[in-house]
Amino acid sequence: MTITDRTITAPEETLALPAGPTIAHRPLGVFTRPQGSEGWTSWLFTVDHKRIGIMYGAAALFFFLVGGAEALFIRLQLATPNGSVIGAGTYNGVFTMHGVTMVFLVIMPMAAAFANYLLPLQVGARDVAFPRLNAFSFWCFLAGGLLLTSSVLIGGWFQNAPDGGWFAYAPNTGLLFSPSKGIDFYAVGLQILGVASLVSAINLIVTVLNMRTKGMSFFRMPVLTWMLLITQFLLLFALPVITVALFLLMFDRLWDANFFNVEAGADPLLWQHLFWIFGHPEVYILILPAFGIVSEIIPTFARKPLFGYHFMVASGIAIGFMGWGVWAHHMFTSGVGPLSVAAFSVSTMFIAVPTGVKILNWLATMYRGRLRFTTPMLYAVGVVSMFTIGGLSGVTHSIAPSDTQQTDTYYIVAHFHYVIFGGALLGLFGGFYFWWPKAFGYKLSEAWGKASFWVMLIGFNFTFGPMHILGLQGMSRRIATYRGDEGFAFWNMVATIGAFVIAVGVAMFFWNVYVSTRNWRRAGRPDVGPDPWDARGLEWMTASPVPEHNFDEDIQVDRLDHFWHRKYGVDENHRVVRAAPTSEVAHDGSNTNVHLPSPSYWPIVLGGGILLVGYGIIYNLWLAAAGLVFLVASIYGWILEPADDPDAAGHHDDHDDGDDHGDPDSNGGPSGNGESASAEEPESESAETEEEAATIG
Amino acid sequence: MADTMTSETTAAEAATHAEGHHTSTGISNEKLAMWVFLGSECLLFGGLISTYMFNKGRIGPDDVGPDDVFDIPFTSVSSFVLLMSSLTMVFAVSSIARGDLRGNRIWLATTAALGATFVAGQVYEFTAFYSEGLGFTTNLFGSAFYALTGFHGAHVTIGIIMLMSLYVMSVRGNLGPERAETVEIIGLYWHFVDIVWIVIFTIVYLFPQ
Amino acid sequence: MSGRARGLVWLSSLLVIFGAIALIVVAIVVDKDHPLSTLSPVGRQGRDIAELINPIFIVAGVVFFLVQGAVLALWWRYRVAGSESGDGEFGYYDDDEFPEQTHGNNRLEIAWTIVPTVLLAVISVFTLVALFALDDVKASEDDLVVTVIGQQWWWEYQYHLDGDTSTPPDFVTANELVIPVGQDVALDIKSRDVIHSFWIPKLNGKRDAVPGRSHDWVIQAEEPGRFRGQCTEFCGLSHGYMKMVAVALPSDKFAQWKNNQRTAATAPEEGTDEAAGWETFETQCASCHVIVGLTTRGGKPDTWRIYGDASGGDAGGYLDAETLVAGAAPNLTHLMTRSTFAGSAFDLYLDAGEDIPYLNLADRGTLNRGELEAWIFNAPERKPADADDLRGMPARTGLSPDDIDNVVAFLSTLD
Repeated sequence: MTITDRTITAPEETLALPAGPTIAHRPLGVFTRPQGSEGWTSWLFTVDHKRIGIMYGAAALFFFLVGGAEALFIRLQLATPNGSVIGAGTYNGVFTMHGVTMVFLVIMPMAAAFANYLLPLQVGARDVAFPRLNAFSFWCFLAGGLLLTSSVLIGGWFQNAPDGGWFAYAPNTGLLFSPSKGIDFYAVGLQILGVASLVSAINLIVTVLNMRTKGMSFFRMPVLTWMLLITQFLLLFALPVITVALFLLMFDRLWDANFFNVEAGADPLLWQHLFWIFGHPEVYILILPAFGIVSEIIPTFARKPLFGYHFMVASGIAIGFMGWGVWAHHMFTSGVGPLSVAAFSVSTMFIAVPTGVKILNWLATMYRGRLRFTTPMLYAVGVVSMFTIGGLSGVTHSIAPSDTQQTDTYYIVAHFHYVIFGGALLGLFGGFYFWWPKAFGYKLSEAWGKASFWVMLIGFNFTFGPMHILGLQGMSRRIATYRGDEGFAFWNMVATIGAFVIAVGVAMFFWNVYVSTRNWRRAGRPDVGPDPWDARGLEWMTASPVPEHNFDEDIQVDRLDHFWHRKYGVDENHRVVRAAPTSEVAHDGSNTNVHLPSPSYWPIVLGGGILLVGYGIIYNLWLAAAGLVFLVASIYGWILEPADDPDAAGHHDDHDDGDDHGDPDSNGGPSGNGESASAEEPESESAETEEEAATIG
Repeated sequence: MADTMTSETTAAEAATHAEGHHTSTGISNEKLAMWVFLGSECLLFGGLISTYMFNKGRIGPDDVGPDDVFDIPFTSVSSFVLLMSSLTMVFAVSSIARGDLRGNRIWLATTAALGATFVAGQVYEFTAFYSEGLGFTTNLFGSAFYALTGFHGAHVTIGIIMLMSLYVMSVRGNLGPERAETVEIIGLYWHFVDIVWIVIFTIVYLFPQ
Repeated sequence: MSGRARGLVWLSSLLVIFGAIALIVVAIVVDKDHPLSTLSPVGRQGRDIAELINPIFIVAGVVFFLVQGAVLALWWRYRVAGSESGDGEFGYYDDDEFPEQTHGNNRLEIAWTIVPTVLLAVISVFTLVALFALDDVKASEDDLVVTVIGQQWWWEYQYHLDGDTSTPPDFVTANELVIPVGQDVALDIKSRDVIHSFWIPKLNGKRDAVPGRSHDWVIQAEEPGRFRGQCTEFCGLSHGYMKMVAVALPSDKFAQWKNNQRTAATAPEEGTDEAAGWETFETQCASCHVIVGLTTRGGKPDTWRIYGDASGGDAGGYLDAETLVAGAAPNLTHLMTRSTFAGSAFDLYLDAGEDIPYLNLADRGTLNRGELEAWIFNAPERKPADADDLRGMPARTGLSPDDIDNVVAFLSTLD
């Protein structure tokens, strides 16, 4: 097999940048690029999208425990009337941090974990477009997350935690009404997280647009790729808006500006508009990745292709567009005027249509399928069922007059937990079970997984189901306690018990991880194979865990669900028959001559610099200035970093080892890529970094 | 690919290689990333401009307002300077595409100098406004005006730093014709910042009411 | 999984889903009489909203059962038993059987795009009609208008009996909004500090009190009664304790109440406990709390003036930090005619029940003396406050028990 029918599109060159001669090695004589791919340092300096994805997932799970603990404190405080488990001040910090943590430090990075790990694989690429920037995104995210979370401890337990709600309405967040450092932590933390997400969004958009393998046209991309791509576009356009809002807030707090100073004539609704122009697309940023995951899982375990692929994609795009036209439905009682209320009321109703299309398509995919209820399938069907409840209560909010009764009550709390927990989080957990064998080479225990699912689902419904009732009975959100004669006691106790049931379910998930890992090790680490679920996407076409170079050879995609169609064909009676064993179709990861980008010190160094600037802005602007100098210096270090290290050990030579995987139908040849010496070329990607960094400073 | 390209390779060939074979869209990753980033920047300035328009009229009758401080002729001249820098940026891009490294250096330096002139004008303007009683904290117009124009000035400054970095690279011999696209990408950024200024100048200075 | 275990899973899932639904339905039907319930409106606006949303709840309920039923039916009908370990030749399946590979159906897709669109279009028509009807809030010229002002963490009501908010109010009260039955009462909702939201669920939806803005709203009660409310926009530390009450009185009783509210307080007799209490009040409390007829400001007796605006003109001006401590505290002129205190967080009377006869002073029940004394002694301990930052009532722990007894005795005279 040769590749003469193509010009020079060897697979590695999807990574190859239009490079000139490499910059002189070790220009400063200080840093070379780090070496080696073993040990913990290899994780710190990695630029491998898969490792970065795993780190995103691990960090998100850590923050999930933090946010979950905060949720339990909320439920303990509200379990009985006149609760006194935590005081009102601490309560305000706890519910704010719960919201901020779950949105920005759990759901978003979990989605980022899947996006990082899967996007390049699903489009058949070697890595993302800018591997070092990808690593930077992660460390920047971690810096923001740690900065935010540290507010809980600094200066005493919840003394400096943000306490203005995740929505942080002005003017309550002004220095006059929130004199603690909490809001500063909120503003700076979210800015840093915004930089991380923005860089990541640019990177992933370029990856999907530019690095698709041959034949991977847009309408051959899996629905998950589509949903993640739409999510990145939403991030791209939504984040600058919250960036502006946070800058205004910081200017008010740091330098006495007047943006939310009512005495100077400001209108606090400006904050609400800016926040929700970001905040509503943010809702779809949270849910669309889960929609994508469900769209991967259900076809696999129905043994049918996804019903209405084009409509699924189109409805996702429609949600992405319509999501921009509904923000003021968060403001029906704010006094935006009846015409605005009417317009946003109607637009909000109609966003239910594309969402409903998705639900019905999932049901149609299940129809006449051969349904196997493995753990991932349970989660996926759980999303279909639970998200529907959240969607229906969402429609009732769009009825603006009735929303004046519902908004800021527990009915809303119930609604968005059915959407974010019942939709996004269940979907992401389903994704964990589904792609765990792909990332780690072994499956999580099905028995524990199913048990954990049911415990979580039951706990979830007992926690948030009653909140519909509480809200309609008039219980407001964000109240630290309620009177005994208001009639809220019973359902609050039910909800609290439910919350602890969820906690048990989550503990079972972590136990599952532990037990499954242990059993796998004891069994001598058996190979789970490339495709343990008999699935459809390209990611299953390579070994598990995915080797560092992803695919042994370039893949020529000729249709949607390419991998599945390589495994199966149709006989003359239109019956599905096995065309080739998986082992023949899938790569075994043995190609060792792929030249990959070297690890780099700079992403984590830059992340540290950002942390310095962040604390500096909060506590001492001189520290911030020092951090900025450090940051700028690091950016130049980044730019001047040698593209590759001549001394680096462990880099494969570029030679054709002729390892043929014997795939007769493939256009791709054996991994002969002799001409494809590709080095990541650092200079030109630095342009973006510099501006990003400037946005921080 | 790097080793197939000799130092004599023209930028045009480099571009053909870069755009013809490597990416699904035919646009290089770097250039596409810059376009995508500029899309995001549109929303950043959109938010800032909206904030300005929302707030500019929220001042008392005796407060310092736009009419009290703006010096339209002065700002027109500095705006013209910035516009001219876009032209010189075009020359910088075309000169490196031709392989004219010396010309490239001259045009890069000219562009940076024009940008610096603009920023200096802005600094002068801010000082003048401040002495006329319009501080950042004076009123909502002041806060919104300085925030918007300050963000733009910061963008120009970053652009200047990038241009100067290119200049230094060129002097050190690291900016050959094969890197024409790097100059082009930074040019994209520079043009974007200029266009944003045209919008800001129109909205803030020409139609202050 | 064995058949038995599978059955158990089925049973439990059905139990969960239908149990939850049953609980919700039972809760809604049985628990209608919750004091803050949105489901048992007493006011015209609240009823209009309920009549709009109730059919939509039913539609949503039908869709809910259809989708959940479909999920369960598909699950039941098309599930296949397979390998439990997933280690077999066919992974989790035990054979190589595939169902028909349908990819979609454009007609079906278009149908289920159009059907919900049409359904929602119908709903939107009803919504818009109700929306504009509810927004038509202008009461007639000389009707009662109440300026409602939120601040951390209580509500002030300025009564403009002639409907003219440009003149000083006829009287000012706090936390308990008294309205005549059957009459639309126009509210002019403002804030002195941060955003609050005024909400009496049984009468109408909520409306935000935004500093610098003035929002029109209307409430009306069709029956006499006492209706609870809660600030529903997060407003800082003690948000949860910022409550209010609306009391609807028949028109004759409302007139009686109104006339009483307009009277000024009189000084207690010299030498009594009440007089000693007034002396303590004057030194400790009068810098913030107004009692018309007794307290003075700058040497001049207090009138129904408005805090933060010495001219007595436009009400509800935004207060800076200094005026927050120097004026924005509930007007106590007729404290004893209210049933609650401290932002309606506490009951003023024990055993009063929900039907406190507002004007029948003898039947009010017992004064909730313990709570009132505790409040005066150390308010931030009873209701979280940030008194150091000038928000909320500071502690008066320097007062002796006798002092506090006397203050309570004095307050008891404020009928």
